[in-house]
Amino acid sequence: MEVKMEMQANHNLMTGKGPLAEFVARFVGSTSAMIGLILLCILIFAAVFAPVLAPYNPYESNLPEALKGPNAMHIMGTDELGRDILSRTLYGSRISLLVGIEAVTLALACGVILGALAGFYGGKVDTMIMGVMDIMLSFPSILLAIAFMTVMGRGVEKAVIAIGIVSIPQYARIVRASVLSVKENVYIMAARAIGNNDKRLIFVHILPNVMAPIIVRATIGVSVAILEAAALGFLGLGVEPPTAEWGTMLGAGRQAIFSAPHIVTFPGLAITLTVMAFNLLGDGLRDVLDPRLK
Amino acid sequence: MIKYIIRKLLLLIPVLFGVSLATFVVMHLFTTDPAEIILGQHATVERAAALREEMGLNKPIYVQFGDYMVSAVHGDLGKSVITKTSITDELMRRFPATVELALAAICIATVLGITLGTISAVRQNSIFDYGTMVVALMGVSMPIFWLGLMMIIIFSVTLGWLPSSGRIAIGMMPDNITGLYLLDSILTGNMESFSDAFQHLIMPALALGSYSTAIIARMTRATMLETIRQDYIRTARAKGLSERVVILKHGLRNAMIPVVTVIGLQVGSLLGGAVLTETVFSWPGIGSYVVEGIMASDYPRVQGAVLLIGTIFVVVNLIVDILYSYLDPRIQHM
Repeated sequence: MEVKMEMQANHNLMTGKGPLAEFVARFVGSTSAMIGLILLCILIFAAVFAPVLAPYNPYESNLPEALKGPNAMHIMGTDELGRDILSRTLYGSRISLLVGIEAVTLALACGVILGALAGFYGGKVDTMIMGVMDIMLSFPSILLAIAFMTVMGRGVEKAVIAIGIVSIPQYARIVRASVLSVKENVYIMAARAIGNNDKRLIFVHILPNVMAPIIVRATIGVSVAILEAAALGFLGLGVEPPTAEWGTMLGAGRQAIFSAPHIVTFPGLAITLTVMAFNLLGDGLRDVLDPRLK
Repeated sequence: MIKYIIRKLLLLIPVLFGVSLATFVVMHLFTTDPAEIILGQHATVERAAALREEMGLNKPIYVQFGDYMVSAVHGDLGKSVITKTSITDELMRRFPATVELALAAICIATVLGITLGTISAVRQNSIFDYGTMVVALMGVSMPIFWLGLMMIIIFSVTLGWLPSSGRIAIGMMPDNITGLYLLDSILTGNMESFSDAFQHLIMPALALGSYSTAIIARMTRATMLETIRQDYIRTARAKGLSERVVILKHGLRNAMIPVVTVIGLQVGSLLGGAVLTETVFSWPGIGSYVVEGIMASDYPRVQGAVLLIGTIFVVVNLIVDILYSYLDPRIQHM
């Protein structure tokens, strides 16, 4: 596969194609990236068109139908309140994707700035920023997210903040390391010599050149964020009921697994597929954007 | 080497101080007043004020932190606001359960991960290789609490082979020596307890170790693929060594350095994962103690447990650093 991608890249070079065309060619040549992308497109489609695709109202209780296994009326069965699990799983994709992407965006925004400042200025700024990052990394991230949620209370936005904050150090570290290696390059010295200020040096000349590892990390980071959001929901610290969210559905259905195992099977499968899509996409992007990281 | 270890140990002090401060500050932003939790919402203002005074909550926060640190250094993490029992005693009582679970998980992950990764690399692009990589992808994508629930459904509910919760059956507990039931049963020669403890341990350990198994397998495969293409491997083959010796002695040994680091890093994720696994399997360890504390709004309990887990995490990372520098002496000079 790698050889195929390499040949394609060389071919592009000879035929004079630009970097974007080369990226697309490499991306299409990567099996894992393509499988991940297709899976992700299906998930986004399900999330966007959930109101059309869902056969029932995901919030409507129907107690006489409670805990029914998969049948012709309810393909994935019903939960402890008689709600249709397929409809709730479809709606749940909205929350999971939203939390995953928003949390990573928050972490990226803070992590890139902090990492760039630490790497660019070094000295006391570096020691102070990375000291705080090291302390945050001294806790397993899910434990830190649990602590934040305990303090802040439940809710989608709070889950985004908790997961976003605990992910900052990972991005800060990657950006700092990349900035440290890039800032010594001759073109940065040249940019400084012609009078660019620090802000311009960081944002225009340095950051665009360290984007590859950041994009790869962020893609895989979304899968981690989705897993953490599901874990918070499972522990009863995620969204407020009756919002349909996969982790919360698993947590609520836990008590019924002896009589109705289907209640936890489908939301869990949905989490696994979503996380797998981002992992595959991340692995593929890593091969395409930065083969050295492989 | 000793200089390197001393430097690392000294660095541990500010990090541990930071960990304690972070835990304390986060937990003191807690919205529920501990006095209210103990006395209930209908307590008189005077009674609540008296209790806050008694608990030292009226003091400035830095004084409270100072008091907490002095007590923590002396091994006293305070009392649970709900049960009034010593948090240190409860953590010590539960600690072996988490250690036993984490050790079993890391053993499973290491053995399975290295074996699968090595075979995959040796038989690159075979059905076994593809199969292992798909399973490894599933391993990193599946939430461990869901895997735990699925295991309970299959092995406890459907097949009835394994118990779904707890650490050992009532009345089967071996004499307490280390607190690790498997080890204690072997030491006391109590094979009935061993078998029971083993049956209780296998599902939580497999669930907890699943993510690490996948990561270690992927890492071993990647480093082995690089290693077995080196010239010295070709030389080893050329001088007539058996394939087994070439792979295990010349290949695997040299591929181990990054794998050891990954194994060390997995200890941290195991501690985080323990919170979820212990909840699913009602495992009486520190993880379930944290979750019970959260549910009961018992913040000193959460604070104590989080502090302990943070400390273990930092110390384990230090041990991994030292081990790493022992395996690869170039690290000390970086």
